Amino acid sequence: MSYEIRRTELPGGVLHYHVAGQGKPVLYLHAAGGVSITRPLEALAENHTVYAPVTPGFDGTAPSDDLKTVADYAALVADFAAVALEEPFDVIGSSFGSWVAMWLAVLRPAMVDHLILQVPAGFRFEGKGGLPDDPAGRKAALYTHPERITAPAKPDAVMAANRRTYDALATLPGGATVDEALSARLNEIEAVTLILLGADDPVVPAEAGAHLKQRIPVSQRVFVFDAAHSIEVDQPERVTRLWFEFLMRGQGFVLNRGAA
Amino acid sequence: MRAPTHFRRSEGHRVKFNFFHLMPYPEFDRVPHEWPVSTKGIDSRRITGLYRTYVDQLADAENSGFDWIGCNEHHYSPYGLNPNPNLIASALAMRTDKAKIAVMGNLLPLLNPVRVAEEYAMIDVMSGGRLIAGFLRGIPHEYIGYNIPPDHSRSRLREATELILKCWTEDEPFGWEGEHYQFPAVSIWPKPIQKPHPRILMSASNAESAEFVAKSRAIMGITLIQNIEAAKEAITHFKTVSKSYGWEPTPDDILVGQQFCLCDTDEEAQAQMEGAQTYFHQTLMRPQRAAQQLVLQQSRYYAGADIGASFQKRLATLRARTVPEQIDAGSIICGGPETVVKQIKRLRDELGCGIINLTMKVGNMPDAVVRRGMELFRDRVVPQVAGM
Repeated sequence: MSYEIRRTELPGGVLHYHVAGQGKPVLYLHAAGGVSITRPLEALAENHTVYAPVTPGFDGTAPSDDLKTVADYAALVADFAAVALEEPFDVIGSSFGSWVAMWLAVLRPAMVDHLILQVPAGFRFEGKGGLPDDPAGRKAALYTHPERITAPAKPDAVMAANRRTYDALATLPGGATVDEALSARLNEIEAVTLILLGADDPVVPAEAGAHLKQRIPVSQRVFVFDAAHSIEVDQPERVTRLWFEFLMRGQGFVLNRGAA
Repeated sequence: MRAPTHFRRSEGHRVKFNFFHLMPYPEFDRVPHEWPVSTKGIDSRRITGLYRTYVDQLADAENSGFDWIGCNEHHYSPYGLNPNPNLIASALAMRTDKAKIAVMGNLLPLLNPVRVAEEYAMIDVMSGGRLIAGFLRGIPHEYIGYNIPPDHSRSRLREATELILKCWTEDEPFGWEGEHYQFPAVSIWPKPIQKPHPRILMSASNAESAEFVAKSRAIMGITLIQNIEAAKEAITHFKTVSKSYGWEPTPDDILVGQQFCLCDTDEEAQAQMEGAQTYFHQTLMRPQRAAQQLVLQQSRYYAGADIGASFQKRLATLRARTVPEQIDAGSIICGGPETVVKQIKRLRDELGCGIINLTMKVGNMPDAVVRRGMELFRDRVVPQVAGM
């Protein structure tokens, strides 16, 4: 299933997005590396319509001066979804995208049906976690299985722009490493939520997932074994299975129904 | 005795002793020819008495100079009447006050890791935080018994280890999506008392296993020592690998296991050991040899074929040696009190091990001999080795 890129004009600015598939709509919010069409995303598009907006300033798109915070971008995503998707829809966020997804679920709770928060950013308690600066350390933090990367590498200039845009949106006042404003509102999330963590992820420590689990009223969290931060790359089959089971069965995904 | 070479004593690392019990069935009157072994003619009421005898020995050991008391898991034969050592450990937890309860261990690849985490946590809580948690892979033939592919033994051990640590350390409920295990919702009650978690003990008898033990920062255990040099090599390798994972093992991270017989005289101890080992090798060990061979030949239980061959060769070598030859090689501890003190010092000095695991009842060794050994250990050995 191949994704195509489209462009739409919203009151808040221009937004590019990838789209593929047919079926119940799913909004996919990308990580700080921009959109990468991973194997789970390809599988998802086989029976869902997947919309993956590109944060302005990422992947070669023009940045927006109006976007100052993650919550600002979540509001733009909400505007996009109101036009493009039938409500309620399912949302999958990855890392930075999970941070955006949480704000979306707080700002527009009625929009979100099932919510999957993969390796969620925004909650680096005591500054723990985060990506190392050196390339080797960064790669080791992202992947336990770099040989499973299928998406083509992006040009250095694009990755640098992605980084700048991410830093601009994700830098919290006073150098804070926890989005306290979001933390205080996590209990407003109405969506049934699945928190996915890499068992070997040094970027998002397990505490972040525990914090969200404590505060999001209806939530589960699952560790994906033998996966670092990029769990879709490291363990595509496991992530795909979890996505499908959770999106289809919600809270019931915990029940083993035996072989079909 | 040669002067110590590689290892120095560290302050604060007094040698600790584990009273280890295989809990054998000592009266099997046939020569078993196959594994699993038939129970025809075995009176389970007799085994009630054995459990009482063995648990009493273990419980009394904490007042006989032993720092740890322990047992392990084996299946389907008179080799050990202990398919679930956690049951024995729970009895010991309630009957003792100070000794560490060493379960050496649960065979993780054969079991439900969440259940292991729960049972170990219970033992730690019941004992007031005294559990030493053995995470072992087991002996090859056990995989036939529980119908687990031996090829998966290492990957199951690795995944089960990570999952158990999560069970112990995560307060919020979680799920696990792994290669061998999937659990959508876990939150064990109670959590262990020891934080962040009880000490883990693993086998590091070969280079393959040493890597994972070092990575896990666990206590490394080696048994079935062919000779001191081979053991020293294994320990040195473990230390080297541990350094590559950013830590330096102390004596408290190294356990060496030995069969043990302590009597009033050297002659008596050697005679008792010889009789007990005859039963051990000819009755208790015999049935699993063919099953082990089958697993080693038809699976990748050991990634390197040479390691599998080495394992079997080691067993054959130990079996063929006389008791005095085993003593000379450093494979067993056996003798009167003065001799045993020398042998313990030799192990400590040559290997730098801080924990010595003593199999107190070898084969069908009479329980009166075990008990006398405990008395001599308390009165004549412990005072001599207390400063080590």
